[in-house]
Amino acid sequence: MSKRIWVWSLMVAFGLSAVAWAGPVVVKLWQSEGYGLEAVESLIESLVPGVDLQVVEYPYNELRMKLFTTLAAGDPKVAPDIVMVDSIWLGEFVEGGYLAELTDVVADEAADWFDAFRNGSQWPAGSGKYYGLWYDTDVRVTMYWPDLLLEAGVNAGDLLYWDTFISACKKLNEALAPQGIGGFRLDMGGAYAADFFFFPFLWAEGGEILVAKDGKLVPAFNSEAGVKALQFLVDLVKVGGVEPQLDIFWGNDWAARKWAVYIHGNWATSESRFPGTTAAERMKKVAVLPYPVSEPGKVPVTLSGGWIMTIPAVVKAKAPDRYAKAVEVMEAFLRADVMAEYASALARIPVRAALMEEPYRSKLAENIEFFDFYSKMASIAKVRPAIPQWSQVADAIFEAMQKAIFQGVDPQTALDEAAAKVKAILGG
Amino acid sequence: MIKGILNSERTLPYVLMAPLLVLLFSVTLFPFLWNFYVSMHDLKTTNLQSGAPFVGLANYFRLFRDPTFLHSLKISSYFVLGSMVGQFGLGLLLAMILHYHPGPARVFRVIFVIPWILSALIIGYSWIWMYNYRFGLINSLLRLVGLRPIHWLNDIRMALWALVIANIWRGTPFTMLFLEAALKTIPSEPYEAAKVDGATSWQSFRYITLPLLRPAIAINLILVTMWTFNLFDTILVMTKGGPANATLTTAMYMYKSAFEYGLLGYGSAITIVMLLINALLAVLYFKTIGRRA
Repeated sequence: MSKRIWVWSLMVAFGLSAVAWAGPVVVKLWQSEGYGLEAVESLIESLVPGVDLQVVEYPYNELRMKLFTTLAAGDPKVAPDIVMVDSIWLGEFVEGGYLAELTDVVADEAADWFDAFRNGSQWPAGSGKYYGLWYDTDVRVTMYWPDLLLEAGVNAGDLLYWDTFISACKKLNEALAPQGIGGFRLDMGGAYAADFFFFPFLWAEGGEILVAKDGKLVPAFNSEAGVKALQFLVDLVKVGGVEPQLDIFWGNDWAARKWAVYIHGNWATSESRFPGTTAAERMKKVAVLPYPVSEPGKVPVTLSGGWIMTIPAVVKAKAPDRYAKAVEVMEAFLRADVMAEYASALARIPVRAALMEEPYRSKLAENIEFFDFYSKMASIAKVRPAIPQWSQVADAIFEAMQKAIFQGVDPQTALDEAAAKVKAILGG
Repeated sequence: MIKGILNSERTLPYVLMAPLLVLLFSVTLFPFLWNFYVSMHDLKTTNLQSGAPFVGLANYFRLFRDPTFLHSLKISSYFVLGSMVGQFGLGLLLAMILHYHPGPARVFRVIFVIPWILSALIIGYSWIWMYNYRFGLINSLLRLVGLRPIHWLNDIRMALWALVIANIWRGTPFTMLFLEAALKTIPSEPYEAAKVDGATSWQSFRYITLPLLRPAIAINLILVTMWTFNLFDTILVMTKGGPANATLTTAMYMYKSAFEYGLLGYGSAITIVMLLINALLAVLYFKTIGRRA
């Protein structure tokens, strides 16, 4: 009898220790370098008991192909549980069948999000079918060093309109060149140049990149608005004496006072570019403005980029337990308090209205300089169409910019040529 | 039976070569065949899972109707020709100097070879800085002598030649070492005989050195042409094919098509065409230079 009790006790003890040995469930998350979800890793782990969140980072340029090759294998063993995809990759990944449809997970949550980000998390945009949630964004604005403007005798108000912006650049260049400081930095090193220097001007003039016609997308950027926007860039170079730059330092050189004025993402005014400073200190050093517009009365528009948190289709289809855990983690991350913590730690701009209200607003404003301004810009931001052919479309538009700026090709001709190319790319 | 195969003079060589052939097949021939197979399909990042439709030679026909591809071939030919002329001319000159001045050659050989041992990325970034319009070394020198600075990488007319210069700088040491080694194999007797016959230095070079160097020159030109035609990392770092596709070589366009645009089948077709061009050039070189040698 006592022997039997011993045997049973041992079996129970082994069983319990096996359960204890099993430890927490590992949830693997892949993200691009610098999009530090680890900032809220322990918070999420406390909200989802029994989960060990493992964040793996890849360089931006590698992540897309790494995801394609891994997910195409169709093997849940090698696939991560949660992935972050750049918002402009969404169409390509959904069309390829790599992402799980998450409408039931995020649709309610999405009601609170700004329009651009809510629509941008759906594929096709605005269809009501969600493939994740846009959790991280930025806004692009004009940023400047007030003391350098003062030194050059330039009024900050001159940066609000195209014609005065051009003359301000010329003045800044002339006054600051002896100190080795450039007036205005115009990035022309890659297709991203259009994100900063063409699309926001195009939108402000009432134009669009692509429009739907007879159920198909067709180019629209070669409209009158597009020509005006590109002509402004040509004038910046020809009349304003701005030297286009082929290298890019993502705001580091502007923060190091190599340039007086820059149009760039809000990260360039953040602590990452001004280490050891508080938001209040940064707001005393530098200043920001909306994009310049062609004339008074025109409303400036900004472009927002960012990342979408999503789950691979293979995990949903072949590993339901892991999918359930990934959903739990995702729901925890999308809570307003967790998102506020994340945005505050990494100076990201909120994508939802709730974070612009108390109790979150004060906390965010404490860490994010120009918080109210950036949030307002995000609430009216526009985003790029996340179609699978986006990289080809962006390249064609960038080629038009280069032809007009470097080769002296008439903006209308350059944009028409690009539009013909884009039409063919889109299957027109 | 195994014993019989190993003892047979007819079969033994094949048995001994088999491991090498298997290795060669798996690392060279198989990827090539696979690449060719992919090029016959409309494989994209969006249909990796669902399966790409077979399109036969459609990707190849599309290539020769694609103005960007034809433009990239033109850019590649300028890039290869410029680099080859510069590398060969300078390399031969340096090889001759080092060969006939063995004393200082020991030090200078090490200095000259530095660009060749650097990574293409480091070279790319170094040249970006040297070409910088405002702070670059080259424009500073131009300003110093009263000349106007040049938009080396921003100017559509200059960008390709700026890349050619950077590539010559990188590739010359290889040609120099290669030809110097070949010079060492030329016996001294023909030069002595020529001297007795009253030949000038130029005549010795023209009628003895150059003909005896021909096999080495042929191999060197083939290698330089292939490497330059396939070069893409330095271009990726320095210009990414811009401005306005002024430096979009075929290798760069292949990379963009396959890995940026996600058109894997189309990118593979470009690779196969590049391979054919390389093979054609090699045959041409051997026919023109090699045979005469």
